[in-house]
Amino acid sequence: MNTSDISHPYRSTIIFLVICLICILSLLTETSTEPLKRIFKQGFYLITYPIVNTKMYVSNFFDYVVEAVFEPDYLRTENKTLKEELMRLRLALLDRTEKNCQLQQKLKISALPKEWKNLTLVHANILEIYQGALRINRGTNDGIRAYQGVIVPEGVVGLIIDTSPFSSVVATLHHRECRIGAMVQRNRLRAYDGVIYPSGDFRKICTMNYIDIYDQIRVGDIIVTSPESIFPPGLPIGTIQSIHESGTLWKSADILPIVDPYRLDDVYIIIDNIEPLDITEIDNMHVSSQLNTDIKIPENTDTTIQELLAP
Amino acid sequence: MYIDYIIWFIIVLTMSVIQTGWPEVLQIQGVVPDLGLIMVIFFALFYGEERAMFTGILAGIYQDIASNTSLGHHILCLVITGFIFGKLSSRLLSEHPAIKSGLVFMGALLHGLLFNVITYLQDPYTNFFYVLFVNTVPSAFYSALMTPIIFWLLHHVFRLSEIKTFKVINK
Repeated sequence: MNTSDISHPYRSTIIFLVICLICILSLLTETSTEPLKRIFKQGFYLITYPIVNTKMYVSNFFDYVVEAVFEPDYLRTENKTLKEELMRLRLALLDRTEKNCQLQQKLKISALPKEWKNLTLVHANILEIYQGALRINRGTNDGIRAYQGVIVPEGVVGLIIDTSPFSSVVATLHHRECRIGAMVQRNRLRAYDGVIYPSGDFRKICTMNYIDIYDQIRVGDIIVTSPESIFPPGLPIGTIQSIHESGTLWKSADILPIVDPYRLDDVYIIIDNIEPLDITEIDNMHVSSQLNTDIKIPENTDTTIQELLAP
Repeated sequence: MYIDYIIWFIIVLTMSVIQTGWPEVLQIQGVVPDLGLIMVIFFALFYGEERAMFTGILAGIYQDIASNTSLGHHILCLVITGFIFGKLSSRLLSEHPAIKSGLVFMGALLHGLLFNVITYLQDPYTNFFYVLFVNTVPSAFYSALMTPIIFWLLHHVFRLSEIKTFKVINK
């Protein structure tokens, strides 16, 4: 006797019972329909994707054929109009780009600190940079002279050391010819010679020499321009990176410049003639106490204060 | 024979999609006929309980997915209804449209009762009698009214398929 023949009268009942059992188990375990839903969704997308794609291509093709056959003049006119519109938009874009550049330059100037706004600044673009010196696109025709200060909103860049009618050379704090009068911002402490020297090597740091061993300086102190310098006092120059004590009466400090000249696009030159303070008006006791009374300061001389104070 | 199953599959899926996807097409005063149940009873009366149960599984899975209930909620109700009406079909004279409508009405009530009992067991805070009288009875009545139209359509479709199948076999 065939097994299927025996089960036939009960087949539907068995199927019914199995389905009921599965359903009850599913209900008891509260099986979520999310996985099935995901499968259905994927299946639906899979089935309908070629249909939708084909429909889109066929529709586009028919549109193209209809337009090409029945509306060639319209297409030609539209093409011409679109080309003209494109040209107009390109010109407008160029105009906007130029205006944007000008506005950005104005914005940079307006972002300068308040006390700088009284200064006469000349904006200059950097033409080239080599060995810590910048060549800028402003020269004597623009009122640029040697030993004028060069700054950016972040701080001091350097000094003008050479000029020509249409360009100038700036010695940055990475160039060995740059000397800037500086002091520690925290306690207005100057070195004995009052200036900082760029190392001029690949270390790209400056040095403040001849600091009395009893003077308090710390790593991280901010160095700013001093009133004796050709810059307005208080402009940031850099921060003290390390302090060296040589066992003598002096110690020195390495200063990391705040401005990296290799990342600049443009600079500002201080045109104003900022005269360094006269030695007789210096009220800083730190400096005056260190002066040798035997030194006679010549009158009406062009010698800078840095040279006067140099050991 | 395979064409018959393919048509059955497409019809059941289409009806389920219409019921769950576009209920506003059939909706009157917020009441929707249960097309899945009408099909289950149709197949129970004319094809036996097995086809009715499989119809119930297919329509039930779709309704479970579409209505975010636990898997098996709709399936169980439709399968039980299909099985009972399939067993009864051999003992009933169901040629007259009014009897068919009456059977669908009874089936819809049974289906609704089972459905609400399961819902009540899962969440005892539901108002069992309120749902029964506000949703189930009007839906059963509307399903009964739709029965002659749906049955006529299904008869028409499956008669066509039978002719096609017959032709394929004879070839």
